[in-house]
Amino acid sequence: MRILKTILIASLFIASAFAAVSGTVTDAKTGEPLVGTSVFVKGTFVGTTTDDRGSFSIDATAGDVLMVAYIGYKTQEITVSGDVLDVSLETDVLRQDEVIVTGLATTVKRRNAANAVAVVTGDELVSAPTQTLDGALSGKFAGVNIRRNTGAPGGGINVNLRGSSTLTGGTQPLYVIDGVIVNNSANQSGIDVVTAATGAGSSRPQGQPTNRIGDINPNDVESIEVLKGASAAAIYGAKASNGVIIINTKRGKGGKTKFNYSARYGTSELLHKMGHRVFETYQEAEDQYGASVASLGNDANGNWANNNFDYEGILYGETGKLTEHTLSAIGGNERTQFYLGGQYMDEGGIIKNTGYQKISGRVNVDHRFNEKAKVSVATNIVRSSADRGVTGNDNTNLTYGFSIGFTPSFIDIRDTDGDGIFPAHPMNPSNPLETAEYFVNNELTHRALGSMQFDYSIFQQSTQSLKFMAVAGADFYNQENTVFSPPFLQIEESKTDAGQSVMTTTDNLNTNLSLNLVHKMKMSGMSFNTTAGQQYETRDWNSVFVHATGMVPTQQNVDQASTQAAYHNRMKQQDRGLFIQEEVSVGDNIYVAFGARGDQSSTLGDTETMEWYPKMAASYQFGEFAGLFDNLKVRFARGETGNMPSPGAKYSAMGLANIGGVNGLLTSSVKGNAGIKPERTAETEFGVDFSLMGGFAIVEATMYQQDITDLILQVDMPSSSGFSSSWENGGAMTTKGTELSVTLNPTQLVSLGGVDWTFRTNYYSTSSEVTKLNVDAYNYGGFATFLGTYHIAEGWSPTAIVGSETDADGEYIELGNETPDYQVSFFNSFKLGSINFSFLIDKKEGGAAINLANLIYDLGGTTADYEENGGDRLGGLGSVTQPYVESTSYTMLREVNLNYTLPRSLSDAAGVSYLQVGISGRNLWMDTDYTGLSPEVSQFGNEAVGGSVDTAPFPQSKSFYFNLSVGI
Amino acid sequence: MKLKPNKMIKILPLITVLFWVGCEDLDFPDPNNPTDETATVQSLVTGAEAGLRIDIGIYLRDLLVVGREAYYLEPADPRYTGELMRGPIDPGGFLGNRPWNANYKIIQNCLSLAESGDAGASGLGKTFHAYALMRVLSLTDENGARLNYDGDKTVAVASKSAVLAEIESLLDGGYSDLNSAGDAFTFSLSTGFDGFDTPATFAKFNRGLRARVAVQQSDYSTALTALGNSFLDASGSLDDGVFHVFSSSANDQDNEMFEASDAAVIKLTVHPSFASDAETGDLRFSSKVATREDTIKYDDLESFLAPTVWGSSYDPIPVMRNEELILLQAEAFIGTGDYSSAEVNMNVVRTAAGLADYTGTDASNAEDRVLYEKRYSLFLEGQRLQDMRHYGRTAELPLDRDGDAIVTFPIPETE
Repeated sequence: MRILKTILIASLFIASAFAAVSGTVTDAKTGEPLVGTSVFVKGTFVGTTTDDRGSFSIDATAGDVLMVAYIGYKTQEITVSGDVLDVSLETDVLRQDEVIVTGLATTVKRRNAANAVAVVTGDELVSAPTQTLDGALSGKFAGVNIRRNTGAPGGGINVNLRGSSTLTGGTQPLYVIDGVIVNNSANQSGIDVVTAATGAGSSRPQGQPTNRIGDINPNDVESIEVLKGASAAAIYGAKASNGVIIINTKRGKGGKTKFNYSARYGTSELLHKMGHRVFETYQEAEDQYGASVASLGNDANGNWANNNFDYEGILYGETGKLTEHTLSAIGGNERTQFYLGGQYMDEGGIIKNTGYQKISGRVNVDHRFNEKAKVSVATNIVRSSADRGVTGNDNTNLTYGFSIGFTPSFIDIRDTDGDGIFPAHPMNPSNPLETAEYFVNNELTHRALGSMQFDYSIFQQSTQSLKFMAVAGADFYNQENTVFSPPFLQIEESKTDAGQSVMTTTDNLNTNLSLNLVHKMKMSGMSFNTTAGQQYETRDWNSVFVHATGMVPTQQNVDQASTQAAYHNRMKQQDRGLFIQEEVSVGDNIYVAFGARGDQSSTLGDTETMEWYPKMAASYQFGEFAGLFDNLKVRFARGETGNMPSPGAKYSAMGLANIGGVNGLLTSSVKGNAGIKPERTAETEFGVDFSLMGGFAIVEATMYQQDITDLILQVDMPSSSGFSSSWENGGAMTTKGTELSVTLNPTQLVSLGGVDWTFRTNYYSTSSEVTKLNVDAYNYGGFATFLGTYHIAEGWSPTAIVGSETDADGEYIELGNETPDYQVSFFNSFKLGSINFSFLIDKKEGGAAINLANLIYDLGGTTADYEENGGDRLGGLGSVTQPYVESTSYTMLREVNLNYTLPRSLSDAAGVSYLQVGISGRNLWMDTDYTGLSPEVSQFGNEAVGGSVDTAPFPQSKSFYFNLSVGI
Repeated sequence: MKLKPNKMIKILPLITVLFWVGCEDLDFPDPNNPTDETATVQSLVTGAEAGLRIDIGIYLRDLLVVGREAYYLEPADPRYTGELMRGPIDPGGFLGNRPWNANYKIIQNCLSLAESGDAGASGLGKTFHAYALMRVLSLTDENGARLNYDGDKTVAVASKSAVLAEIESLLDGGYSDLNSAGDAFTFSLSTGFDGFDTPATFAKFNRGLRARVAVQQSDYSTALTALGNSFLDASGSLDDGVFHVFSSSANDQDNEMFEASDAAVIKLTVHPSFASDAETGDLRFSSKVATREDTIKYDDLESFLAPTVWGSSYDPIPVMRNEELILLQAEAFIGTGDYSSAEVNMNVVRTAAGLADYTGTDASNAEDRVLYEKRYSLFLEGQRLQDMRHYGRTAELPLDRDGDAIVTFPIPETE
């Protein structure tokens, strides 16, 4: 406080004698006025923004240097020499002036950033439509691995930043939208009770859930910034060890209200089939299935009919139709600005009765009360509905993949006369075509997000300022999952209680509050930026699950049943945090930051002690260097973050086991740990960034190492103790990686006949090793060792897959590793006048998955290569697992986009500000040796270890769209 | 909105402190589950009784498939026809581990009951404890079981004989507790224990288990004494006894063994030898097995016989029936050389099965005869494997395919 007073007093003596300088700011290429451009006197906080004509007026004297900055443009410095100053800004190809978040309330320009920070803008995000926000991230960042666990409508996507940092904990990054943490949980639908893949509330549920971040409309996004590692994310403390994804939504701008309307129409189709066995002769069928089944392949005369039904093609052969309409309005005046965004999306799936619908509305309003106080409000309401079919693992042979596996191509299970009555499947308990026709698996979500930021300038002088910033937010959703298996289905008919209905209702409320003070000071070529603040975060999750069996015909309500079982789960979490951070810049060259965050959480054994997470970062900018580099920067950062235990880990519980209507208690399988601590990740990151030859090449290279300690393990206990496992902080792990991002602008060097070509590649590789394990090595994930599992042992990668095979010493042999050798993406953009063509190729090399879909097909005798290899694979089962562990390398054409913008003269004539038409595609082409439906797969959702198991999920699709966008 | 800087500076620390103090205590109880402090004698007894049914489906399938009473033709899980019929059993797999886990979970409740100070609860706890160990041993056999329940892996796994000694001591200790427990229990049991729900009648069930263990150890005089104190009644209903009962009530369980015998596809099918070995007219065959029109085939195994012993998902599964006691007594008589008494007992069940009486039972045929009667009387109750082991005749169990074997379950790898 004393220091603050001294600064306050000192600042009062700084004399001022300014005159007004005025001018306009325009785009250098188009001559358009740039509304909302910041104009500052360099080295001071004297500043203003341009109005809706691009004009400004500022107090400055001759000799002062004005800094003119606008997002996406190069910042210009101009020395004041008269009263009028017109400025034209050039677009910032190098993005060196892009503003990057470094703390909860502070930012730094990319040229000084000490971390490798990846940013994409909203336009880059939605060049081709996507159902979910996370689905649009594939291939766009180095250091980010995106895996679509299933192709089911509504998503289910694993976003992994910089490799493994946990064995049992949360794996998904923290999502922060407009300064507020939003919920990204994956809530189980309860379908695994119907498929008997696992029971209700199983510790490893298999419902292949969606992620709730998917609700956010990608069209509302202004930019996404990814803080990949602990060194960048330390200021988010105990929740940030999986990195942080910061999303800023679009804000209003002063000036004439601009409307934008976009319509998209498209179709989607199956991307990749497993293929199936063709039975050439009756004998082949009889050898496999016996005479009674083989004779089903005969025609009316008893001769082999040579049937070859492609049930993948029939079942996955729907053409999904997409319609999307988005409408936005941006406007306001100098004091109040608004953004309105609306979206309607309806996308059909490639299986009958599947699809996704979303309606989203957003209102963002900024209002400046006066020079000192400003409030920014963001609200978003979403309704989404996903019909997801029934796919994946199964112990009842109900799901599509399993059923097809047990359907040889010579039998006919179609409803040939179209009366809606399907023949009973002669070999499988369900007819998948009947199931697809009548089975319901719907997820309906209603969500409301709101946040408010209040900025108050406590004082501002020419060399220092103190600002108070409060951010409050709430995120509420209700998710309703309905699963209905009608009593007349083949699989239900024979049961005592035919028909099942599952109703799961999940409510979740996250609240956030953060109070921050930001002090900025500039003196003699140095600037100091001090921030301190507090955070409060709560989470309340409440899920009720009712499983009814014995349904009254035609009724779906869970009370219209002969029996019901109800399950109720709650999760409650409350966290408090404190942070302080100091950033110092010396000239344009040196940037240093250090800080710490302290956290308390209800999930920890000790809720009193503050866990501290320190950070430090430094960068040195050489500027132009050696005549070759436009600029060259070296950077270093180190920081720590945490990963919370699951909220139930500290409790030792008993579970209900009733008989005869009396309550009984039994110990639950997992022993709690009253002293559980967070996992701690300490990361060190080095990097070099440079640009060459006038922006021809821009290179960012980063190496990182994460040392993770206090790993939380669910340690196997001898079950003779009554417990199967217990929670322990019992291990350590090291994760290393390399990221390289290269952007080339060939047209900076040579002219390509007016074509503007940009090429960008992101390369990423990472590997992890368990360095300490306080327990015996163990296997985790999958279904059994001989069906492929993950081996957790000192010196091993935590994502190593093993099976029955052991070496001479009885040690497991690594059969594959989920973590790929490397990932690389190539983005090309060509601009010629009003035509823009771009495409994104995403390549994964290495990585492995346990392909049990092949095992299902083998067991059904229907694998495409069954005759050559099926018998060997099955015969070896029990001692040889390798044939079912496959490489998941792929090369994918993720996005293609071609569009044409009407020339200014024509659009003006048409009375619109712009008009764009185009075609785009997503996941159009894939090259892979993987024999399952998709090399991107996880039966177990976003588990840190044990996910890459393929049990024939919902297949992935390729999509093709026509786009129209018009602005008024 | 006119906030003056100096006012804001004063207000800020206040807001901050208010929020920090105003927050709820971060240390709150588990919102989902009770703790062991919540448990009562009744909840421990009910938990143990209910827990005896956990994974009973897997447990019985293990015994039935290994004992070649049935096949479990489950295309979605090849382990039932692979591992279970060829071996070796994966020490990390569910076939052995899930039943093992369930039994030891119950034992935790039994240990608490034994220390509850309630003689009836203690007697019941020790009896259930012994029964859980008997079930473990019926899978692991010579591999033994754990007798320390604290998770200490440095203690060696106990041998089969040590486990049998512990079972005897638990049953005898429980019996003496029950004898001093007065006229009534302080807790209730489910309808599965109807007729066995007082200390005196529950003690008869305890003696029945004691007889089963004694016969396994060929300790026939002890078996006869125990049977004398059990609920054996040669003129009573063969189906009197103790059962696992099921219902659709909350947190209850259904009978995992049930499949409609006429469903399009069934998994549990009867081993064909059960038909070919049956005496003509044996009602136990015709009442327990239905012949299907089609043959279920999988993994080079086939059967057209479907079990009908369970009529619905809520039909009970026997723990011990009078019919078993009558045959246990027959075995004990044979063991002591009293073939004529054994024959009387066997003829009780034969008469009920509509078969002609045995005559001329002697040392040359007694063992075969009692094994036949047990096989058909106790079909699908999981006794056959035990019986064949007891007489050292597992080699006679039919093997269907090259490479098939009679497996024993290993101690789980986590032990």
